[in-house]
Amino acid sequence: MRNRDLISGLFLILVSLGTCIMAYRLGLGTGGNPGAGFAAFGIAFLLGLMSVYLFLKGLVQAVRGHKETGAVNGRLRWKKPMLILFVLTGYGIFFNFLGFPLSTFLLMMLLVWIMGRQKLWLALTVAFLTVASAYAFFVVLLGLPLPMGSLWYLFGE
Amino acid sequence: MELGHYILYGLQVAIQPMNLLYCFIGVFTGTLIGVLPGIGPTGTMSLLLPITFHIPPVGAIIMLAGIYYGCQYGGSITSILVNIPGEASSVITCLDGYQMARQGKAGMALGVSTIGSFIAGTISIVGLMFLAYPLAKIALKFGPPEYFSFMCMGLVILTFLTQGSMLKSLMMALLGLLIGLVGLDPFTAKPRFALGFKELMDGVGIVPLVMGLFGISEVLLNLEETVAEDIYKTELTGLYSSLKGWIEARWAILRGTIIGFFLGILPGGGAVLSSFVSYALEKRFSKHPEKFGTGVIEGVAAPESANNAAAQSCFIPLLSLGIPPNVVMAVLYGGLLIHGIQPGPFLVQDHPDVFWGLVMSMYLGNVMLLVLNLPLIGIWVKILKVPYAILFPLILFFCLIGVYTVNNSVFDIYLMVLFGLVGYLMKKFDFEPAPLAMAYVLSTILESSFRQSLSLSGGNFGVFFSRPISVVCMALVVLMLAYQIVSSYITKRRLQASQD
Repeated sequence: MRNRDLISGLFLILVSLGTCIMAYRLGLGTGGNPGAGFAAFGIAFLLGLMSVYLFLKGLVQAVRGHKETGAVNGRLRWKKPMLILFVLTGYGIFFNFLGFPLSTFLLMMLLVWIMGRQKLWLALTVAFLTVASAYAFFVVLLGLPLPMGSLWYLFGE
Repeated sequence: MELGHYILYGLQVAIQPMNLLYCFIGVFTGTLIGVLPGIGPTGTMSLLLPITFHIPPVGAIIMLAGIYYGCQYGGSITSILVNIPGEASSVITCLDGYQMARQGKAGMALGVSTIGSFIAGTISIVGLMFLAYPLAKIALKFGPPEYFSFMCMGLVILTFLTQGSMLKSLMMALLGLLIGLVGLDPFTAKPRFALGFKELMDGVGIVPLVMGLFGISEVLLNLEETVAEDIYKTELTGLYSSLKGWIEARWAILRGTIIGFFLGILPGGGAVLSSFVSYALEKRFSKHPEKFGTGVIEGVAAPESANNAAAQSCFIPLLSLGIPPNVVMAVLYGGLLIHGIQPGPFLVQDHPDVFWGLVMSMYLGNVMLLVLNLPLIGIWVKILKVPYAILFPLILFFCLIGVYTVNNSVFDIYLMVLFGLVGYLMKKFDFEPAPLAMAYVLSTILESSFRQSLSLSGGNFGVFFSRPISVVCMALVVLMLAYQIVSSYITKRRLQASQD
């Protein structure tokens, strides 16, 4: 990342601008009778001012060739985290279709494999034990209505 | 009923078998997550929030509270044995605790830490009992302007005390307020910022937000770091400590308790701040400050007592004023609301079982923690050996199921993943998630009190500066902001001067 303040400042300027427009459309009302967008407009406006300051600060630093310091968390090693987020989103997409047991089994297999490159038998065991214990706890004990999957109806028909 | 009657009533509620069980589950889970580096009390409480829907409100709150004060005990175990803080509030314990372990005094450090925590926790509950009740009576005199100013002060103090740039913390607080405004406007019933999603009409849920920001993002960040999983090999002897150790630690425990108790009440304060402040003060007033960091018992006793005292006293503003002083209390605030209980001055009056049951359960919880952390410490040390490659997938799975079961909605899973990404990027861009989460929780009540104040005063903004409590709070807000601006300007000038 070249300049974090520049990027985050710009992003937040866009957020505050968008919010200001939406809040204005909602109606600001008057001081004595504030409308639905009154508080949101004020907050977004303040956020916008601060974002502009942050952006300008980042811009000045970028122009001066200032090196960023103290970036404890700064390095973006995004591949593994993005892969995890992708898998979690996939779990959401296939949850109702595959059902809770199968989608959870696949999720745990993938996560154990991605996180530790574990052996296949270990990933399978962890996935199986997770599904079995989660089913016993959430479905049998707590009676939560978790989907069993519409996929099986296709085979049934 | 008089105070004595209420105490007996609370005890009656707390010793009911099911409530005892919930208290045990809470403190046990708290110790467990305290021991395990990675997921903190905020993430765990939000993770277990959906499960509490199936149990009565008193039991749910007793369990959630147990997680918070329980994790303060567990956090010290990893700090002392592995030099990795299980919790942010145990960071400072690493300095002397780990050095003691290296010198073969791990048992003594753990013993003083646990018993010091017990003493601090117990004293703090007594304070909570005697302060929250009269404070709730005073809070009945609070009007919308007072509430608005007090919450503004809490938010500014939090951003003031958060690590890193105050500007960035303030920006996150503002963003949190905006996220909290999503959904139907409570005054006009107009949908706001829902972006066409019907799932957002009720607003952004607290569970996906907190789980994403604190649970998912924390796992993602931990994936990048190679955490040493080896435990310092030392015999855990002397847990009950030598007489010399106790004599050295006794005043440190007492000072830590007092500091922790008062910093816990402060809006924006809590266990983390109090542990750092008590360590700094202990070092300052010590006869041998140069020895701090080399393994002195006061360096373990003071912060561990302080964080436990703060973990109990921070319930005071939540229960008596209805204002969460930190992000963990904000999650508990959300939990109470979900159970149909409004924290605040009327809580004692309307739900004495919740208030007094919770207070009295804390005593019992502290006794349970003493047993869990002294004779059973070997179990926690063994748990530390579970590989992260198995632990992290399990945490993620519990987040997914937890968030789904709130509304049986896959949309909440997407929302949590989105906030997980936001939380991860926030850390990368040096933004703190705590002000965002706290502002989000306060946003509804903050906006309502703001609009009510303006309506009552006919649009006169002077209403926030014309009532005594409100004036004091607003003056503190202005002072803190001014101090920050001036101090950063002076630092900048000094830097420039040194470069020239």
